[in-house]
Amino acid sequence: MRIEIDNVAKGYPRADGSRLSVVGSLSTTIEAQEFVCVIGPSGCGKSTLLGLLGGLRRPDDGEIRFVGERTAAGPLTSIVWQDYALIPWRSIADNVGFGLELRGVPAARRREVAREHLTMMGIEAFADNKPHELSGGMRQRAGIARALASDPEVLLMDEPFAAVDAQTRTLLQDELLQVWSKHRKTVLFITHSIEEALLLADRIIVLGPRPTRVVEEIRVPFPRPRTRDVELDPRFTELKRHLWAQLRDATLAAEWAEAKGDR
Amino acid sequence: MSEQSVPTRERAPDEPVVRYAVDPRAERPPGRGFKLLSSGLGSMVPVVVVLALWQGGSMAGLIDKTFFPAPSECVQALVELFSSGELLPNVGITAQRILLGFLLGVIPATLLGIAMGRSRWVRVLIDPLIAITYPIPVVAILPLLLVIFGTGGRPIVVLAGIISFFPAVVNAMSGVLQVDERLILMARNLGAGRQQILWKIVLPGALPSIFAGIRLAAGLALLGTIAGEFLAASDGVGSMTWRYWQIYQIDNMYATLAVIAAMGFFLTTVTLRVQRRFFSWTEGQS
Ligand SMILES: Nc1ncnc2c1ncn2[C@@H]1O[C@H](COP(=O)(O)OP(=O)(O)O)[C@@H](O)[C@H]1O
Ligand SMILES: [Mg+2]
Repeated sequence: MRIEIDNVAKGYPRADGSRLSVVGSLSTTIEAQEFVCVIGPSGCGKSTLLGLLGGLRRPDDGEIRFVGERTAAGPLTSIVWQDYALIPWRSIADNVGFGLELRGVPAARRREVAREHLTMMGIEAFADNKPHELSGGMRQRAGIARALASDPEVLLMDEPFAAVDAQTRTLLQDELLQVWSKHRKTVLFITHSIEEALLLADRIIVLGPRPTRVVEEIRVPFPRPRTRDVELDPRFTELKRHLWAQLRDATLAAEWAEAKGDR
Repeated sequence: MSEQSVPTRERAPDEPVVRYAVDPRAERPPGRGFKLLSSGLGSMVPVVVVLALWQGGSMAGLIDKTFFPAPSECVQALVELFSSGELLPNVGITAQRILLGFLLGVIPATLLGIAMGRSRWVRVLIDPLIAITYPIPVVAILPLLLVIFGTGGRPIVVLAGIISFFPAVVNAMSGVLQVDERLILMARNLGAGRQQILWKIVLPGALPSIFAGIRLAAGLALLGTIAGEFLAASDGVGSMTWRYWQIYQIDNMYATLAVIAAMGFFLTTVTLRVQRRFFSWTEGQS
């Protein structure tokens, strides 16, 4: 399905009664089966935007529309969380089957689907373990397996690899590319890594400081199927430099704002 | 890769060298004696030592026998109370009061605590009532309970119920409030409704805290029952203690105290077992 984000605004009430405007009238469209990365300075409202897309909060203004025939059996979106958000008292398999359980899929079928997705992510050996017994990378593989097993129209990923170590992140990026090339779901992927965005995305949306709006959208020219070799392409370096120039000032400004306690 | 790609240099004979003097005690493992004492059977050693000292002191006349009769005499008294058929029926009565009082307090407390954790309206209405009544020493209202419920077992059960109500309600509420907000968001994103969030996230997440409250409540139900029996009953182990104290049969009094202690020990061990068995996952996080 296509997502139309139409003049969406969102703020939070401040302690003094005024309102902190986080997302300022933001518009863009994400095409069906497109892989879009969003980058922007920290605290600019990326997670807030993701929460709006995931149906966790309502926009103060504007509208989010999912357009097109439904092609998946599950929820409109499922989120892959930066800190995994696995249920600690459930086994990995029961975590992965959670989305199916919510819509009443029988247990036998749930187990089957869970196993399928665990195998796809290479962690079928941990099906019966509890989350705290797994490394960060393994947990996030389970997080991705849960999101995909619930069969959403759109996959929303909020800096999913930010909490794992650099080597594991590299592996997870490669695995995500592989998995995505099979199911081709629409993906909105938030990251603060320009390299990650260039490796994964069809299109990169650059957000500005708070109240955030779209500063720039660029198309990533590398053909698919992609591998890490795109980093050797001279256009990679050029785009990287260009994106960093876009982000640099906004990042500095955000750091100053945070230091001054303007939250 | 070549094995000698980074050449190293020999240390010159006059170069100063400094080493840490690490305290060897910092990483000494527990010795055999310690392991023995901290094992299940070993933990009986201090108890046995105290009893032996007591026995010896009493026999040597170092301890006043009128207040501290020798353990052997207390054991003898216990055996006699048991074989005369006086003890067991009273243990049964007390156990029944503890259980009834416990259920009377814990069931409504847990339900109310969960409601308080889930609804800020219930919380804002009930919280002040609990804050005002919690500090009242519940034994102080025993006369009132006697007026309302008459004599016999009922006021004692109610007393035990009221006492065990408070830790259960407070723990249930805070358990629900402390459930990881991210898990609730995760479930909502995947399409969970309010009921599903309650049953699949909130209640299981709050269960360890709810159970901790229930454990406290079990101990307090025992305390309330015994206190009530001291003051207002003609049967039950607590009333036996009180009676033997009044007629100055100190060895019998100690025998009944030992029975009460055993009941308390049984309660804590059983509930601890349940906790270890079912809530071991609480050690990890998401
Ligand atoms: N629930 C909330 N209540 C109040 N302020 C919030 C809330 N969530 C986020 N914020 C504020 O909104 C701003 C944007 O947050 P967020 O969307 O998490 O940014 P990002 O994901 O880009 O780092 C931050 O300044 C943050 O403090
Ligand atoms: Mg964020």
